[in-house]
Amino acid sequence: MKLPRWFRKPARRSPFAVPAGHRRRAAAARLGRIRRPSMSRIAVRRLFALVIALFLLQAQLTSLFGEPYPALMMPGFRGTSQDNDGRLLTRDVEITAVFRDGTYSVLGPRELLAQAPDSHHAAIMRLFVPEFGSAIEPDLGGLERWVPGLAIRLKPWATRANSNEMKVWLRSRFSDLYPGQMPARIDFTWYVDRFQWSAGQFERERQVFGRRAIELDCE
Amino acid sequence: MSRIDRWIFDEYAPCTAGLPVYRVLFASYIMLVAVPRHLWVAEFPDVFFYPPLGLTIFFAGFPPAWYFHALNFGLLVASLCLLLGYRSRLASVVVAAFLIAGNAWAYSFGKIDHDILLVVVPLALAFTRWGGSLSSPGQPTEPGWPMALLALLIGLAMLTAAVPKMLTGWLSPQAPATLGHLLQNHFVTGRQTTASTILVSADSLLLWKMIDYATVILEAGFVVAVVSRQMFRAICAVATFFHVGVWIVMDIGFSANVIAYAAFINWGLLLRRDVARHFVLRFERARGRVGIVSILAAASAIFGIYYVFGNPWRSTIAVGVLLLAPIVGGAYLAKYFVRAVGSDSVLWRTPARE
Repeated sequence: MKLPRWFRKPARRSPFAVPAGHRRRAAAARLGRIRRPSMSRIAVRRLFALVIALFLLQAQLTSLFGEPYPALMMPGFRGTSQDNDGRLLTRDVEITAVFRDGTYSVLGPRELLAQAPDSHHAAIMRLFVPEFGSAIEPDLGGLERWVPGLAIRLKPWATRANSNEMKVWLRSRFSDLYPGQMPARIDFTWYVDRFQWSAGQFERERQVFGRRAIELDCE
Repeated sequence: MSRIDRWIFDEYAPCTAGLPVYRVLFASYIMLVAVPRHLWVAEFPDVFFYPPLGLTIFFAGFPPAWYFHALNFGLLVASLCLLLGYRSRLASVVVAAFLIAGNAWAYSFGKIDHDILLVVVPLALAFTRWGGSLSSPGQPTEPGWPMALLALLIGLAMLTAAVPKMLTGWLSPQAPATLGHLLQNHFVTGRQTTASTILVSADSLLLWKMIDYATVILEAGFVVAVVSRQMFRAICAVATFFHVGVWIVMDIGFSANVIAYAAFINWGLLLRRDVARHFVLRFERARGRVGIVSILAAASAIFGIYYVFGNPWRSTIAVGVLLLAPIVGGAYLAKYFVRAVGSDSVLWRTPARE
């Protein structure tokens, strides 16, 4: 007499036994004949949801603290660079090395920052923007110790341009650019250029909007 | 849910055919164009350090020169492993990690270059079997979700280019935004090309506004096109023309984006050619013989060349990629157009295949 299934003693199985069909499926997967799921469907769905959530978080962080890195971002090319009269505006800087004998030489960011890619020049030159008013050092508390990079971001630009470290770098850079001559002072003159279409071409109207001088000869 | 599931798992499944060929192209691009990178960073003192929110915010300055040399060597080894399909999943993750570990410092001067798709591609494709044999017949055999994920990531990335433009006046009918950026690039940054010299004297608001609108529509269109494989391929094809245009006019080469779009080409078609099959067989035979020692030796030799001579072929290959892309993209668009005109058209009566 055959006992009902739930009364029967379970068949003894080898601990190394594999489920029926598993070997065949694995072999087929190795040969590339069937799809081999590397992640479960639920995990994949969660991954897609996570990507969208992180993207929204990135948008929020960008609006609060500026662009993070790494971030899923492409260049924004913000703005239209126009003034109220419809003239196109650009900002430019001229670097003047003034030597001890009173002679001077003018160069641009391309020469000064030749080692760095030109895409970085405008950002680096912001270190030398004119000082407007007095720079106040914020009280950073323990931030400088634990998140030094954030403390650097919160410090005013002026303290960095006038630092001894910057002067040492400028001396070294100008000794490469002008061997045997050391400038006494470096002037950074900032301009706003306004472009107006006139008689078949753009006319440029240049206006100085600020200067910064860094003395190299003070010691 | 089933429609979303169909999109995630099936829509991009045919794009997985020929991924091993794409792996070889991607790894070659990293080795020949992206390396060596960022060796200049160590020449600047810490006073230039201005980190973005990210990994480098926990430091107070730049690492020494040896760090960048080691990173470049590691990137070469990882990209060679990827090229040869040697532990390709690990190699994909290491390539992405090393790219980030270098970029994070180079972008700590206050400027971030937007080549993130070079990082995104190996991370997304690490989930596929792109490290497999080249000699497989080029049939889609894997789930398509990593390709759908890559398409989504590219679409979202392009959206971050479109939204700031929409919010800052690019859609205003009176403001020629592209012209403003072109003037800055031409006169201030000093990237003067023949095309930019001609264009800065073009006084046509209509022309400039068409360029402004087309740019915003293209960039925002990516995220819409993600829903369909054919639409996404088509917009990638159009974008190749956009990138070559930007390079010709502004001397800004986004070859990294073009390489990312190339993931959606069915590279398996190449293997139908006898010449390609012959080359693939030789490659596979050579691949079977190499181990980590040979990879390290080859990476050392390439690193030595780069160290002594710099990278002699970087700009040539980057420009070659930018110029070749619209040819491939144009061919795809022509095929897409003919198909769209009518599947029964006498011009295009071929068996349905991917």
